[in-house]
Amino acid sequence: MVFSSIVFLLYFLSFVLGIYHLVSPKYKNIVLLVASFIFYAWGEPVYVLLMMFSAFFNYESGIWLERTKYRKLCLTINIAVNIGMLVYFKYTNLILTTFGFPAADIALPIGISFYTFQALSYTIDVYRGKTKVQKSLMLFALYLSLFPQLIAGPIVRYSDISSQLKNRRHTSKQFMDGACRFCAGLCKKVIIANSIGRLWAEVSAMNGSELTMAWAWLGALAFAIQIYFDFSGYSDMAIGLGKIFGFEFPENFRYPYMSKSITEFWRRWHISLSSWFKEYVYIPLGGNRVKVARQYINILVVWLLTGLWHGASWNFVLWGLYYAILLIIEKLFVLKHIRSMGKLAHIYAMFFVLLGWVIFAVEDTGGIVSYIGAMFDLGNTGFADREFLFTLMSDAILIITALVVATGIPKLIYSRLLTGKWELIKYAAAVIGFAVCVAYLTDDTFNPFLYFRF
Amino acid sequence: MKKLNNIIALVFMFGFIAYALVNLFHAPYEKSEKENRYLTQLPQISFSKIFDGSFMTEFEQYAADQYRWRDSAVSIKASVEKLLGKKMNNGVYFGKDDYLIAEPSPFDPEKINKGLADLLYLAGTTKYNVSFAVIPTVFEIEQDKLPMFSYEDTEQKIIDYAHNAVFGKNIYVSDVGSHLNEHKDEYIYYRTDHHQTALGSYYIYEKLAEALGFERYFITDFNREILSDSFYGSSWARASIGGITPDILEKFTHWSNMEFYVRYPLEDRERDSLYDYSLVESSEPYAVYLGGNHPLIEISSQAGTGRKLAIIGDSYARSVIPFLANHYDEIAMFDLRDYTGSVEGYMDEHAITELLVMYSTETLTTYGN
Repeated sequence: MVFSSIVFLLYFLSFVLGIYHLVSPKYKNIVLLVASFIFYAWGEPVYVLLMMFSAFFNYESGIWLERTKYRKLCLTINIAVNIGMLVYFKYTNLILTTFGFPAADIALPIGISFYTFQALSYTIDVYRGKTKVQKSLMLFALYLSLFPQLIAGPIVRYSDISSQLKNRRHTSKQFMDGACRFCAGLCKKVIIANSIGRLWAEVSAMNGSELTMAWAWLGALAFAIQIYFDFSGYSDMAIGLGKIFGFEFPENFRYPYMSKSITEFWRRWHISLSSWFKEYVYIPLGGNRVKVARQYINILVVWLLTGLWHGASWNFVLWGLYYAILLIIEKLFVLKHIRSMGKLAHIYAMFFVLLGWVIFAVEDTGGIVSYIGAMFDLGNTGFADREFLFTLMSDAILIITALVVATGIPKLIYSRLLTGKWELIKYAAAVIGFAVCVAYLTDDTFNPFLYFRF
Repeated sequence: MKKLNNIIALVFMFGFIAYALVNLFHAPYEKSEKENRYLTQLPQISFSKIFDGSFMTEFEQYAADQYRWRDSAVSIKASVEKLLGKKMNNGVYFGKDDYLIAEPSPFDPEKINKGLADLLYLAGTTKYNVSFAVIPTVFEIEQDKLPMFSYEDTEQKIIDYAHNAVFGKNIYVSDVGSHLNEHKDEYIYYRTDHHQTALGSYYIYEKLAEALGFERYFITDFNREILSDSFYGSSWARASIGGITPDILEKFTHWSNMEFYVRYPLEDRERDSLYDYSLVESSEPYAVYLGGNHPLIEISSQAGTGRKLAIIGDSYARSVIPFLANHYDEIAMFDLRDYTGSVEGYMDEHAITELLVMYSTETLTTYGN
């Protein structure tokens, strides 16, 4: 099930919410666990068993890790099984087709990348002694399958919510904050991301001569807006739902398009993923405390993996490589000068982020080259093209709204202004936003789920 | 403040749950009047449908179709989208003065050639007097109503190409487009449909008189009668937008009150009127003219002119027939998208020597599909 669907919004959520808040505290976790399984099984009626297996296996691994003398072996087996499952379901076809074999009939279980990483955060932390073993299978299964963050993140580390699993308070303030956050995220996804996504779909379907410089830039901008509003909208919904059920999840996005360098961008974009890689890959490899040359190799490894995590296709690896190179260059030369660059730094960072999205969004390498070629093809600018002007005019309000929201200024203003009894305005806005989103979803034929490859 | 928060949270939650209960227990709607389609009903449940996920897909469709106040939701969406600057939906532009204008099909010479093949063949036999007319859609004629940067001369290109293609082939070309253009400030095209109005059809008839060679009647010779003042056409259905004033569907009757007889020989049906009034309230009110598309329609009248006419045409041509029928004893109208017989054979058998081929730019470019 996805959040941006009528079934979730008007049926699933209301019933889960009602039952959850009506039952006595000791049954709340069971309600949530059953709800999470139904949520997952709705979209993956068979692979729900795989998720249950993962929960059971990692729970047992934790117990085992505490008792055994062969802790390293135990962790190695655990990682091998987790990564093995991920590789089998996600990357088999990439490996097969790369070596010229026909693709096998393996469908990717939704959210496997997210819950595998969550599971690993648990077993590795138990191994390191950073967190206590979870003795209750039910609570561990709840952690792994908690439906608010199950299929599109954030990647909540076990240590972040281990205490909340057992004890959490439910206040009406938290409930209302959560509801508002959820509605804001829903609006970001349904009203902005889906509408702008249409524009990207149109541009990405253009062939060589149609794709002028003007279209290419507008398309890249459209995709940048779509993916940010879609992804951060999902995270907002997840965080909001978490609050509704008494959880506090970590933030996943901090206005990434305000960054003044690529390094900063990655501190603000999909934070739970980059911090996961930092914690469980980069630092174990030696992090910054090794020789400079080794550091760069570490960066390269981390970013190739980060790229590959986003989908089983070589363009994602290329995308990771692109960021590895940018980050190394920044470390070597650029970061020292960023401060003196002022506004230019922002333009510099966004320029490379936009190029990055082209590599991310266009799958085949030939397509990437010709798309980027079109972005700089001064012989075919097409800024006066009728269709381009029409599209630009139609989408101008949407694009400007999106860009303004992406600065974080509106959020800042309303959280300063709407306090005390003025919060009622926020609540009313949430209700209206929710109704508009339901209306949008009613006959929406364009409502893509972007993370089915993650 | 804390107390207020508690109350609000409770109202929020119970309101939400109450709405879900209403949705669960209300009797399912059968049909959406607004969208003119039957709505999905509660799907059958079975283990196999759960395991292959088809139950879920069907239930999602059901949920999206059946919640309360759904019809208002559809209008809310359109209004918000309009507010956000959207100028088009589903290939239909939101024009000025409530004009919903469908985008024309692209200029494609190959398809036009296909569309003209029968015409050129029949003219090539030199057995008939052949006239030819291309009717533009509302997009071309009412281009002033389009939003900025949306007009293209696609239809002009189609018309020019077609006119050139038949030049010198013993075909009389009637430039109805230019004639309609002279009257573009009148109500000659529907705002919610791509077809011309009955008044538009009159002007087409007026222009055709030169080509076909009869003395046309003046507009004052006709009684005008409103068949429906709440006509919403296909562009409206595609645009799915609220707050649009409906169109008026009219009927022009010559003062002589001539009687007509209409036969659909391939379907073995007949009617003593040029109009199928039962369709006024249907989902396709425009089909009121001769009952919509049929492979072959035969119309006989008491005109007493001794003339017979074969027409090859589409829905645009069909609504011109009530005017033409005043001048011919027999008219046979072929829709070649459905008629599989030989027009030549039919004409020879019925001793028809006059032929009018009349297509909209739309049909001319989608003929091959």
